[in-house]
Amino acid sequence: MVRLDLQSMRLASRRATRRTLLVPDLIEAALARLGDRRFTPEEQAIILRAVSDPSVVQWPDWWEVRGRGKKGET
Amino acid sequence: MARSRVRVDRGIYLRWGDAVEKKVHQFKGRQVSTADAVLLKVYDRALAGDKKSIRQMVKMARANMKERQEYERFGPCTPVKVVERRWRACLREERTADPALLLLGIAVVENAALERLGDPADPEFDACAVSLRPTHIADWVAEYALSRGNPPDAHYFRQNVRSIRTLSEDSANCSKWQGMKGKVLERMVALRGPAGARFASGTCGNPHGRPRTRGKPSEILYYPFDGFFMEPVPIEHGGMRKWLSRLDALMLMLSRKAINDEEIAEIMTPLIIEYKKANVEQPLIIFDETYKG
Repeated sequence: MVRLDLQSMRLASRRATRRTLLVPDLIEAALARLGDRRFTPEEQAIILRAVSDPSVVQWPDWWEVRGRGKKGET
Repeated sequence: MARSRVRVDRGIYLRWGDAVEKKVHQFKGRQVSTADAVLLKVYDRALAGDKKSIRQMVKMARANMKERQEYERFGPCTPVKVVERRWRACLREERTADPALLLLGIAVVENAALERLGDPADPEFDACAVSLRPTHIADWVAEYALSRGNPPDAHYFRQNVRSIRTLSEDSANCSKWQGMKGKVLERMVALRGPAGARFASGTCGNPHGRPRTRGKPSEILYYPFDGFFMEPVPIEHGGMRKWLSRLDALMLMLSRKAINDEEIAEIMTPLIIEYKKANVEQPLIIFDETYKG
């Protein structure tokens, strides 16, 4: 039901029906609240999978896992 | 003598849950589940001529026919697989972003769910940690959504009848999360992260290889109400006692009444039209005299 809550607040993609994909802004806001905490590469991979458009997110400097990027990008 | 074939279905009962599946009711000398008891009562009322019940029965028959048409479209895939695929899809939904939501502090888990986890040393802890779901939204997320200035999505508000469950509204119920967060997330990341998803070295991801054939469609068909409609019931016909499928018996009794009752005829018309339009195979009539029930 958390998924429906997020979708009703427009914080999760409405088009993705099988998966919950979070909007990039929410990820940025959540990362800004972390403070000194750093995620391990495994945790970063988990978070990356839950973002609707990872290429739009302003990832912090310490972030390692970036994914493949959009088609056509190098 | 026509071959008798009883189609059994329990697919929909899976969705109704265990409570309705338990056979706890006595109905005409046999034990039936809550779901069956309700259907049987509606069926009896329909036979007695209750218009509302007739409408419900016709609605069920139409739903059954719709599923039958859907099955025709699935082609060679066995119906058992169709049901499993739908059921598993339901289970998989909402789960993909759960660890991310917990890691980022967007959502939290209520105490009741954490109590089910038990001690990290328990063997069941891992199984529970994998399926752990967030239950409440953190307060900052609701505030952030307001600050963005976007109006709430009306479509989802209609679906989501209850109000959004934020942490501050139910803080006493989510008090344990902060204490257990570290341990739970550590196990969750290990089990559901990239490493957990990979096959361990020496373990084959496809141990049985490609199946030789997809197999014939099973005789057991998983239509929503086939288990109910295709059950043989005795009727008096032409001075003889015969066994018919419940749907056939209902249609026979209703068609007798429909000749003199306009309202019943009106209720039955859409079903008849749909049957004609879809050119669906008529339900198999069981005329087996030797059938003892």
